[in-house]
Amino acid sequence: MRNVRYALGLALAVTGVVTIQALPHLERYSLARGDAVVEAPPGGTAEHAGSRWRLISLEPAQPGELAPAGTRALTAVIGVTPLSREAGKALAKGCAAAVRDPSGRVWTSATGSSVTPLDGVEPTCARVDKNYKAVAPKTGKEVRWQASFVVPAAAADPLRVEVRLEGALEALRLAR
Amino acid sequence: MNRAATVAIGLALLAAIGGAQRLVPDADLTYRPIATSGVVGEEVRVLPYTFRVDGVDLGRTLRLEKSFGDQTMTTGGVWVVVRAGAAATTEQVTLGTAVLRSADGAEFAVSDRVLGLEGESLQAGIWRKGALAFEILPGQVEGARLVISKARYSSIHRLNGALGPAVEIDLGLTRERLAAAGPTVTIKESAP
Amino acid sequence: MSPHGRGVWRWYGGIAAVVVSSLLIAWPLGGLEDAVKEGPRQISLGQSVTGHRVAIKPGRVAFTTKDPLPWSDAGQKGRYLVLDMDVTNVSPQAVNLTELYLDFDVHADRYHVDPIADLYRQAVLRDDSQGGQINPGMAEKVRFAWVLPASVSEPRQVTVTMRDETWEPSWSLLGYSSGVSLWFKGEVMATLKARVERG
Repeated sequence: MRNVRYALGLALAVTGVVTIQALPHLERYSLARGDAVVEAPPGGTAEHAGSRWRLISLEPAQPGELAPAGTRALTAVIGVTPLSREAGKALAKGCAAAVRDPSGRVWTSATGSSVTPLDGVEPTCARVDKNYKAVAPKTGKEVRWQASFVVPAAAADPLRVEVRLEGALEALRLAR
Repeated sequence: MNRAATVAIGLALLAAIGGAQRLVPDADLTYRPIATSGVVGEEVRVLPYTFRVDGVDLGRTLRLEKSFGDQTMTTGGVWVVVRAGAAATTEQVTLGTAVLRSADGAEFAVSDRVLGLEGESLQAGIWRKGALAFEILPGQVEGARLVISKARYSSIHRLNGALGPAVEIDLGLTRERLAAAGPTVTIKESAP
Repeated sequence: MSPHGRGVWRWYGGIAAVVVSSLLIAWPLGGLEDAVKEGPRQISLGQSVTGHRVAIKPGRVAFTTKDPLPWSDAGQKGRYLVLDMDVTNVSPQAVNLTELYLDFDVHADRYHVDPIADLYRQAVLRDDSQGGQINPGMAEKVRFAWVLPASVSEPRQVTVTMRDETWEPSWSLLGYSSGVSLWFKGEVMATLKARVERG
């Protein structure tokens, strides 16, 4: 009986020490989860965060004044349809876009001074009102928004577009 | 075995434990970034970026060319301006912390009066050129090396800081280079 | 007493002997402290004090309504308390002014100046520009400026305590610290008592 108590005590002590040592690494674990991806088939749609997403186009764009030499400009037009009110609200928080080449290199979206934006396409995944405030898009109605990129002239195709909603752990990957 | 031998072996083991304890590197050494060395003109590749020093200029004053008027800045020491270029490897990153480490180990931080290459966003495969400006005591110029560490990723899903790589460049700074320093060194401040 | 019980007492006795004998050796050698502590030095304007990170020589304390650290030519009128010092970095690393500032605690007469709420700005002053850091071995002119609340009358005297900083390994019970060395707040190294100038 005494041996059982010793064993229990020992097991508890070991578990305690391991827990105390592991706690600081939990943050690292949650950071690592940021690599998770939802992938849409090329040219197809994908459901992510309660909305339906598609890549409408990814075309060469007009470079802006500050575009560095040896680069090309691209603009992606992305369609997103919130399937519920909550999904629309999630979109209103904003999303970040990037392009990724087959070797895993990633370029985050560029500013207007590097790439001239397209007219008549929303600048973010949420509608923007007259006061430049984000408004949750209507359920079932597609929002077409754009993201521009500056990539090296030699960046290899096919480039895929990645979208990450503010605060989301998973990213969405779209391709033409 | 008799008691004396047991005690002697016990003491020897204790001394061995003490000795082994002293051989354990301290945290400062353990967590020190792993530096890749290079010289002026050489492309130094580390995980987050590739970095190259194109040249080094020294001067008693620094003239900063800005888009809205120039500014001249003095110093209690001497200005060391490192002209360099860098490109990210796979994703957006900034160089992070740049210091000039003198031969005696003192670390001179990059000047906070100049917006330099250290804070600029680097994109994968796209070279950006810029300058790193330091103020250093004239007596410590000789043998000073450029050390860049703590690369900062823009993605929150990357850990910054400790255990990351570093770049260490021998700038070839000698007493003769200091003596030949011009009165003024000019740099163009990078666009934000 | 059983033979088993005697064994346990022998262990306790051994441990007690080790503790007592180490105390008996340590006590006559100056106790268990590293060194005898000296109280903080009392300094006045123009006197300098050197710590592990910086050497400080306070030069002037003033109350003024003119902006002591203007962003633009115009500046901002207000009720400012200004401390001017010569600071030399005696450590092998650059000193950031925002860190150095936190080593100071100021009383204007009997009012305790709030280090966060009352802070106006701090800067390294040069003829041509302002900065926020002091490199190793460099001597710089440093200005701290606070805005005094309207309820506080114009001060006649200030008492400023300055803390030293020491380079020590970081430590935490749960393992949140890596153990790498950092600058930690140390003892109060000096107390400045000075009359406040007007202007």
